[in-house]
Amino acid sequence: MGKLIYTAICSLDGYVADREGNFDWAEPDEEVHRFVNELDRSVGTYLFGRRMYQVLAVWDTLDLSDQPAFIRDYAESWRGTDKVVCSRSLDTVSTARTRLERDLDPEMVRRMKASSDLDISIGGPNLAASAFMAGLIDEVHLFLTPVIVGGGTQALPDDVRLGLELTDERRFGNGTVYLRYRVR
Amino acid sequence: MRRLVVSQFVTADGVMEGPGGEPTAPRGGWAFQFERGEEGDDFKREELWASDALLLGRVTYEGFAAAWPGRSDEAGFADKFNSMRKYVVSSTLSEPLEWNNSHLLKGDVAEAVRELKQGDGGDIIVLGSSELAQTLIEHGLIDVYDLWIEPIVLGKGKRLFREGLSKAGLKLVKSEISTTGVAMLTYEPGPIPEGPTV
Repeated sequence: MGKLIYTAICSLDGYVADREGNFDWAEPDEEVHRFVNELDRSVGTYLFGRRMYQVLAVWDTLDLSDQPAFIRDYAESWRGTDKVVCSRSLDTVSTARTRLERDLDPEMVRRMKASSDLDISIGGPNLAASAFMAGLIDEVHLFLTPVIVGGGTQALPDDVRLGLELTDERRFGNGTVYLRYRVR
Repeated sequence: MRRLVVSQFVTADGVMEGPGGEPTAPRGGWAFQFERGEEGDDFKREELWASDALLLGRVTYEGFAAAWPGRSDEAGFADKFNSMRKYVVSSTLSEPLEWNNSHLLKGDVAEAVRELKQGDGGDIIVLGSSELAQTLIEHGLIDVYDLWIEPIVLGKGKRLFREGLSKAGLKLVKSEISTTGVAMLTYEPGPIPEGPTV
Protein backbone atom coordinates (compact mmCIF):
# COMPACT_ATOMS: atom_id res chain seq x y z
CA MET A 1 0.00 0.00 0.00
CA GLY A 2 1.37 3.37 -0.95
CA LYS A 3 1.19 6.27 1.45
CA LEU A 4 0.06 9.77 0.57
CA ILE A 5 2.80 12.12 1.69
CA TYR A 6 2.64 15.89 1.91
CA THR A 7 6.06 17.52 1.84
CA ALA A 8 6.65 21.21 2.34
CA ILE A 9 9.77 23.33 2.55
CA CYS A 10 8.65 26.29 4.63
CA SER A 11 9.80 29.22 6.72
CA LEU A 12 9.84 28.83 10.50
CA ASP A 13 6.58 30.80 10.59
CA GLY A 14 5.01 28.24 8.30
CA TYR A 15 4.93 29.71 4.78
CA VAL A 16 6.00 27.96 1.58
CA ALA A 17 6.08 31.26 -0.31
CA ASP A 18 6.18 34.82 0.97
CA ARG A 19 3.74 37.64 0.22
CA GLU A 20 5.55 38.43 -3.01
CA GLY A 21 5.25 34.80 -4.08
CA ASN A 22 8.97 34.23 -3.70
CA PHE A 23 10.56 31.21 -2.13
CA ASP A 24 14.24 31.66 -2.97
CA TRP A 25 14.86 31.68 0.78
CA ALA A 26 13.48 28.13 0.89
CA GLU A 27 15.55 26.78 -1.97
CA PRO A 28 17.42 23.69 -0.80
CA ASP A 29 21.19 23.71 -0.88
CA GLU A 30 23.12 20.66 -2.08
CA GLU A 31 22.95 18.85 1.26
CA VAL A 32 19.18 19.28 1.58
CA HIS A 33 18.61 18.57 -2.10
CA ARG A 34 20.50 15.28 -1.94
CA PHE A 35 18.36 14.27 1.00
CA VAL A 36 15.18 15.17 -0.90
CA ASN A 37 16.44 13.14 -3.86
CA GLU A 38 16.84 10.14 -1.54
CA LEU A 39 13.32 10.54 -0.17
CA ASP A 40 11.94 10.75 -3.69
CA ARG A 41 13.17 7.25 -4.47
CA SER A 42 10.18 5.84 -2.66
CA VAL A 43 7.71 8.03 -4.58
CA GLY A 44 5.88 6.45 -7.52
CA THR A 45 3.49 9.27 -8.37
CA TYR A 46 3.33 13.01 -7.92
CA LEU A 47 -0.05 14.59 -7.31
CA PHE A 48 0.09 18.31 -8.11
CA GLY A 49 -2.21 21.26 -7.88
CA ARG A 50 -2.01 23.77 -10.70
CA ARG A 51 0.42 26.23 -9.15
CA MET A 52 2.84 23.59 -7.89
CA TYR A 53 2.75 21.94 -11.30
CA GLN A 54 3.48 25.21 -13.06
CA VAL A 55 6.46 25.83 -10.77
CA LEU A 56 7.91 22.34 -11.22
CA ALA A 57 7.12 21.76 -14.93
CA VAL A 58 10.47 23.33 -15.81
CA TRP A 59 12.19 20.16 -14.60
CA ASP A 60 10.86 18.35 -17.65
CA THR A 61 12.85 20.42 -20.11
CA LEU A 62 15.66 21.94 -18.05
CA ASP A 63 19.01 21.81 -19.82
CA LEU A 64 21.09 19.58 -17.59
CA SER A 65 24.41 19.86 -19.35
CA ASP A 66 25.87 22.42 -16.95
CA GLN A 67 24.09 21.27 -13.82
CA PRO A 68 25.75 19.56 -10.86
CA ALA A 69 25.05 15.89 -10.19
CA PHE A 70 22.49 16.45 -7.45
CA ILE A 71 20.38 18.60 -9.81
CA ARG A 72 20.68 16.07 -12.64
CA ASP A 73 19.65 13.29 -10.25
CA TYR A 74 16.55 15.18 -9.21
CA ALA A 75 15.61 16.00 -12.80
CA GLU A 76 16.01 12.41 -13.94
CA SER A 77 13.95 11.18 -11.04
CA TRP A 78 11.26 13.81 -11.71
CA ARG A 79 11.09 12.92 -15.38
CA GLY A 80 10.82 9.23 -14.60
CA THR A 81 7.92 9.61 -12.18
CA ASP A 82 4.23 9.61 -13.13
CA LYS A 83 2.40 12.85 -12.50
CA VAL A 84 -1.28 13.62 -11.96
CA VAL A 85 -2.32 17.26 -12.06
CA CYS A 86 -5.63 18.21 -10.41
CA SER A 87 -6.95 21.41 -11.94
CA ARG A 88 -10.18 22.82 -13.28
CA SER A 89 -8.51 25.77 -14.96
CA LEU A 90 -5.83 24.00 -16.97
CA ASP A 91 -6.91 22.62 -20.35
CA THR A 92 -3.79 20.65 -21.07
CA VAL A 93 -0.54 19.59 -19.47
CA SER A 94 2.78 19.99 -21.24
CA THR A 95 5.05 17.53 -19.48
CA ALA A 96 5.57 13.85 -20.22
CA ARG A 97 4.05 11.07 -18.09
CA THR A 98 1.44 13.52 -16.89
CA ARG A 99 -2.31 13.18 -16.76
CA LEU A 100 -4.85 15.86 -15.96
CA GLU A 101 -7.78 15.39 -13.61
CA ARG A 102 -10.51 17.92 -12.87
CA ASP A 103 -10.74 17.27 -9.14
CA LEU A 104 -9.02 15.51 -6.30
CA ASP A 105 -11.26 12.48 -6.05
CA PRO A 106 -10.82 10.58 -2.76
CA GLU A 107 -11.74 7.32 -4.47
CA MET A 108 -9.06 7.89 -7.09
CA VAL A 109 -6.52 8.52 -4.35
CA ARG A 110 -7.56 5.39 -2.45
CA ARG A 111 -7.21 3.33 -5.63
CA MET A 112 -3.78 4.84 -6.25
CA LYS A 113 -2.65 3.90 -2.75
CA ALA A 114 -4.00 0.38 -3.04
CA SER A 115 -2.45 -0.34 -6.42
CA SER A 116 1.05 0.87 -5.60
CA ASP A 117 3.88 -0.22 -3.36
CA LEU A 118 5.46 3.16 -3.89
CA ASP A 119 4.24 6.31 -2.19
CA ILE A 120 2.32 9.22 -3.64
CA SER A 121 3.65 12.72 -3.04
CA ILE A 122 1.13 15.56 -2.96
CA GLY A 123 1.83 19.28 -3.32
CA GLY A 124 1.33 22.25 -2.98
CA PRO A 125 -0.57 23.36 0.08
CA ASN A 126 -3.79 24.29 -1.72
CA LEU A 127 -4.33 20.79 -3.14
CA ALA A 128 -3.04 19.24 0.07
CA ALA A 129 -5.70 21.14 2.03
CA SER A 130 -8.40 19.20 0.17
CA ALA A 131 -6.57 15.97 0.87
CA PHE A 132 -6.25 16.85 4.57
CA MET A 133 -9.98 17.63 4.77
CA ALA A 134 -10.75 14.24 3.23
CA GLY A 135 -8.46 12.51 5.70
CA LEU A 136 -6.28 11.14 2.92
CA ILE A 137 -2.82 12.24 3.99
CA ASP A 138 -0.73 9.64 5.79
CA GLU A 139 2.50 11.52 6.36
CA VAL A 140 3.62 15.12 6.68
CA HIS A 141 7.25 15.98 5.96
CA LEU A 142 8.30 19.47 6.97
CA PHE A 143 11.57 21.14 6.10
CA LEU A 144 11.75 24.16 8.42
CA THR A 145 14.11 26.81 7.10
CA PRO A 146 15.67 29.33 9.52
CA VAL A 147 13.78 32.39 8.34
CA ILE A 148 10.66 34.37 9.27
CA VAL A 149 8.84 35.80 6.26
CA GLY A 150 5.78 37.34 7.88
CA GLY A 151 3.09 36.15 5.50
CA GLY A 152 2.34 34.43 2.22
CA THR A 153 1.14 30.95 1.35
CA GLN A 154 0.67 28.77 4.43
CA ALA A 155 2.23 25.32 4.42
CA LEU A 156 -0.58 23.84 6.50
CA PRO A 157 -4.26 24.75 6.21
CA ASP A 158 -6.41 26.43 8.83
CA ASP A 159 -9.09 24.36 10.48
CA VAL A 160 -7.36 21.04 10.10
CA ARG A 161 -6.51 19.25 13.31
CA LEU A 162 -4.02 16.38 13.26
CA GLY A 163 -2.38 14.17 15.84
CA LEU A 164 1.13 13.39 14.67
CA GLU A 165 3.94 10.99 15.49
CA LEU A 166 7.51 12.01 14.75
CA THR A 167 9.16 9.14 12.92
CA ASP A 168 12.34 10.71 11.59
CA GLU A 169 14.30 13.94 11.75
CA ARG A 170 17.43 15.43 10.26
CA ARG A 171 19.30 18.66 10.89
CA PHE A 172 21.26 20.26 8.09
CA GLY A 173 24.31 22.50 7.98
CA ASN A 174 22.32 25.45 6.66
CA GLY A 175 20.03 25.36 9.70
CA THR A 176 17.16 23.55 7.98
CA VAL A 177 15.38 21.02 10.18
CA TYR A 178 13.53 18.07 8.66
CA LEU A 179 10.66 16.63 10.65
CA ARG A 180 8.87 13.56 9.38
CA TYR A 181 5.47 12.85 10.88
CA ARG A 182 3.01 10.05 10.56
CA VAL A 183 -0.60 11.22 10.79
CA ARG A 184 -2.34 9.33 13.58
CA MET B 1 23.86 42.79 28.33
CA ARG B 2 21.26 40.32 29.44
CA ARG B 3 19.70 38.00 26.91
CA LEU B 4 15.98 38.00 26.24
CA VAL B 5 14.79 34.44 25.67
CA VAL B 6 11.40 33.55 24.25
CA SER B 7 10.54 30.00 25.23
CA GLN B 8 7.43 28.49 23.71
CA PHE B 9 5.53 25.34 23.02
CA VAL B 10 4.35 25.56 19.42
CA THR B 11 2.42 23.12 17.27
CA ALA B 12 3.83 21.94 13.95
CA ASP B 13 1.70 24.65 12.33
CA GLY B 14 3.06 27.34 14.62
CA VAL B 15 0.19 27.78 17.07
CA MET B 16 1.24 28.82 20.58
CA GLU B 17 -2.12 29.46 22.18
CA GLY B 18 -3.36 27.33 25.01
CA PRO B 19 -0.71 24.68 25.54
CA GLY B 20 -1.61 24.37 29.18
CA GLY B 21 -5.37 24.26 28.79
CA GLU B 22 -6.01 27.95 29.27
CA PRO B 23 -9.77 28.54 29.25
CA THR B 24 -9.61 31.20 26.52
CA ALA B 25 -7.81 29.02 24.02
CA PRO B 26 -10.06 27.34 21.43
CA ARG B 27 -8.19 24.06 21.44
CA GLY B 28 -6.24 24.34 24.64
CA GLY B 29 -4.40 21.83 26.73
CA TRP B 30 -2.38 20.18 24.02
CA ALA B 31 1.22 20.49 25.19
CA PHE B 32 1.19 18.58 28.39
CA GLN B 33 -0.14 15.39 26.90
CA PHE B 34 3.34 15.00 25.49
CA GLU B 35 5.80 13.78 28.05
CA ARG B 36 9.06 15.53 27.60
CA GLY B 37 11.45 12.79 28.64
CA GLU B 38 14.86 13.25 30.14
CA GLU B 39 16.09 15.44 27.28
CA GLY B 40 13.15 17.72 27.85
CA ASP B 41 13.79 17.95 31.58
CA ASP B 42 17.46 18.74 30.95
CA PHE B 43 16.56 21.38 28.38
CA LYS B 44 14.09 23.12 30.67
CA ARG B 45 16.43 22.96 33.64
CA GLU B 46 19.32 24.47 31.70
CA GLU B 47 17.08 27.18 30.30
CA LEU B 48 15.54 28.13 33.63
CA TRP B 49 18.75 28.06 35.64
CA ALA B 50 20.48 30.37 33.15
CA SER B 51 17.80 32.94 33.84
CA ASP B 52 16.97 35.12 36.82
CA ALA B 53 13.83 36.84 35.62
CA LEU B 54 10.53 36.06 33.94
CA LEU B 55 8.85 38.60 31.68
CA LEU B 56 5.13 37.91 31.27
CA GLY B 57 1.95 39.35 29.88
CA ARG B 58 -1.07 39.61 32.15
CA VAL B 59 -2.94 36.48 31.15
CA THR B 60 0.09 34.22 31.45
CA TYR B 61 1.12 35.93 34.67
CA GLU B 62 -2.28 35.39 36.25
CA GLY B 63 -2.25 31.74 35.25
CA PHE B 64 1.20 31.20 36.73
CA ALA B 65 0.41 33.23 39.85
CA ALA B 66 -2.55 30.94 40.48
CA ALA B 67 -0.65 27.73 39.78
CA TRP B 68 2.86 27.99 41.20
CA PRO B 69 2.70 29.34 44.77
CA GLY B 70 2.62 26.52 47.29
CA ARG B 71 3.83 23.99 44.76
CA SER B 72 6.96 21.99 45.24
CA ASP B 73 8.81 19.55 43.04
CA GLU B 74 11.99 17.49 43.32
CA ALA B 75 13.78 19.24 40.50
CA GLY B 76 13.17 22.61 42.12
CA PHE B 77 11.27 24.26 39.27
CA ALA B 78 8.51 25.51 41.57
CA ASP B 79 10.97 27.07 44.03
CA LYS B 80 12.78 28.75 41.16
CA PHE B 81 9.57 30.13 39.65
CA ASN B 82 8.30 31.30 43.00
CA SER B 83 11.50 33.01 44.11
CA MET B 84 12.81 34.54 40.89
CA ARG B 85 11.99 38.09 39.82
CA LYS B 86 8.87 38.44 37.69
CA TYR B 87 8.22 41.43 35.43
CA VAL B 88 4.65 41.83 34.30
CA VAL B 89 3.44 43.91 31.37
CA SER B 90 -0.11 45.03 32.05
CA SER B 91 -2.15 48.20 31.84
CA THR B 92 -4.85 46.87 34.17
CA LEU B 93 -3.02 45.20 37.04
CA SER B 94 -1.68 47.36 39.84
CA GLU B 95 0.90 46.85 42.51
CA PRO B 96 1.33 45.23 44.90
CA LEU B 97 1.06 42.03 42.86
CA GLU B 98 0.10 38.87 44.67
CA TRP B 99 2.85 36.52 43.48
CA ASN B 100 6.17 36.78 45.29
CA ASN B 101 8.81 39.08 43.75
CA SER B 102 6.51 40.38 40.98
CA HIS B 103 6.89 43.87 39.55
CA LEU B 104 4.92 45.80 36.98
CA LEU B 105 6.94 46.98 34.03
CA LYS B 106 5.85 50.53 33.46
CA GLY B 107 5.86 52.75 30.41
CA ASP B 108 6.70 51.86 26.85
CA VAL B 109 7.34 48.11 26.73
CA ALA B 110 10.16 48.16 24.19
CA GLU B 111 11.98 50.91 26.09
CA ALA B 112 11.51 49.22 29.43
CA VAL B 113 12.76 45.90 28.09
CA ARG B 114 15.75 47.56 26.44
CA GLU B 115 16.63 49.02 29.84
CA LEU B 116 16.22 45.66 31.54
CA LYS B 117 18.61 44.10 29.07
CA GLN B 118 21.23 46.77 29.77
CA GLY B 119 21.59 45.65 33.35
CA ASP B 120 23.71 42.80 34.63
CA GLY B 121 22.22 39.46 35.31
CA GLY B 122 21.02 36.21 33.85
CA ASP B 123 18.62 35.61 31.00
CA ILE B 124 15.14 37.10 31.01
CA ILE B 125 12.63 34.50 29.88
CA VAL B 126 9.30 35.12 28.20
CA LEU B 127 6.87 32.23 28.53
CA GLY B 128 3.45 32.25 26.87
CA SER B 129 2.42 35.91 26.69
CA SER B 130 1.49 35.94 23.02
CA GLU B 131 0.80 39.69 22.71
CA LEU B 132 3.96 40.62 24.56
CA ALA B 133 6.02 38.10 22.56
CA GLN B 134 4.68 39.64 19.36
CA THR B 135 5.71 43.14 20.44
CA LEU B 136 9.18 41.95 21.40
CA ILE B 137 9.62 40.12 18.09
CA GLU B 138 8.45 43.17 16.13
CA HIS B 139 10.98 45.35 17.93
CA GLY B 140 13.79 42.90 17.28
CA LEU B 141 14.48 42.50 21.00
CA ILE B 142 14.67 38.72 21.15
CA ASP B 143 18.12 37.18 21.54
CA VAL B 144 17.12 33.53 21.76
CA TYR B 145 14.10 31.52 20.61
CA ASP B 146 13.67 28.23 22.43
CA LEU B 147 10.93 26.48 20.51
CA TRP B 148 9.39 23.13 21.33
CA ILE B 149 7.68 21.87 18.21
CA GLU B 150 5.01 19.48 19.36
CA PRO B 151 3.69 16.65 17.18
CA ILE B 152 0.28 18.13 16.57
CA VAL B 153 -1.43 20.41 14.05
CA LEU B 154 -4.17 22.59 15.53
CA GLY B 155 -5.13 24.75 12.55
CA LYS B 156 -6.56 27.38 14.85
CA GLY B 157 -5.28 29.75 17.50
CA LYS B 158 -2.74 32.50 17.95
CA ARG B 159 0.51 31.86 16.24
CA LEU B 160 3.89 32.71 17.73
CA PHE B 161 4.98 34.45 14.55
CA ARG B 162 2.03 36.44 13.28
CA GLU B 163 1.40 37.86 9.87
CA GLY B 164 2.99 41.20 9.23
CA LEU B 165 6.40 40.54 10.72
CA SER B 166 9.35 41.82 8.73
CA LYS B 167 11.48 39.22 7.07
CA ALA B 168 14.18 38.02 9.44
CA GLY B 169 16.87 35.40 9.28
CA LEU B 170 17.63 32.99 12.08
CA LYS B 171 20.47 30.73 12.98
CA LEU B 172 19.81 27.28 14.41
CA VAL B 173 22.22 27.03 17.33
CA LYS B 174 20.96 23.96 19.12
CA SER B 175 18.57 21.17 18.38
CA GLU B 176 17.45 18.09 20.16
CA ILE B 177 14.67 15.66 19.62
CA SER B 178 13.03 14.11 22.65
CA THR B 179 12.13 10.44 22.68
CA THR B 180 8.54 11.64 22.68
CA GLY B 181 8.83 13.30 19.28
CA VAL B 182 9.21 16.91 20.37
CA ALA B 183 11.71 18.93 18.36
CA MET B 184 13.45 21.30 20.79
CA LEU B 185 15.02 23.92 18.58
CA THR B 186 17.04 26.94 19.68
CA TYR B 187 17.47 29.86 17.28
CA GLU B 188 19.24 33.20 17.44
CA PRO B 189 18.85 36.10 15.01
CA GLY B 190 20.97 35.57 11.91
CA PRO B 191 21.37 36.59 8.27
CA ILE B 192 18.44 36.22 5.85
CA PRO B 193 19.09 33.18 3.68
CA GLU B 194 19.38 34.16 0.03
CA GLY B 195 19.09 30.76 -1.48
CA PRO B 196 21.98 28.94 -3.11
CA THR B 197 23.33 30.28 -6.36
CA VAL B 198 23.31 27.04 -8.27
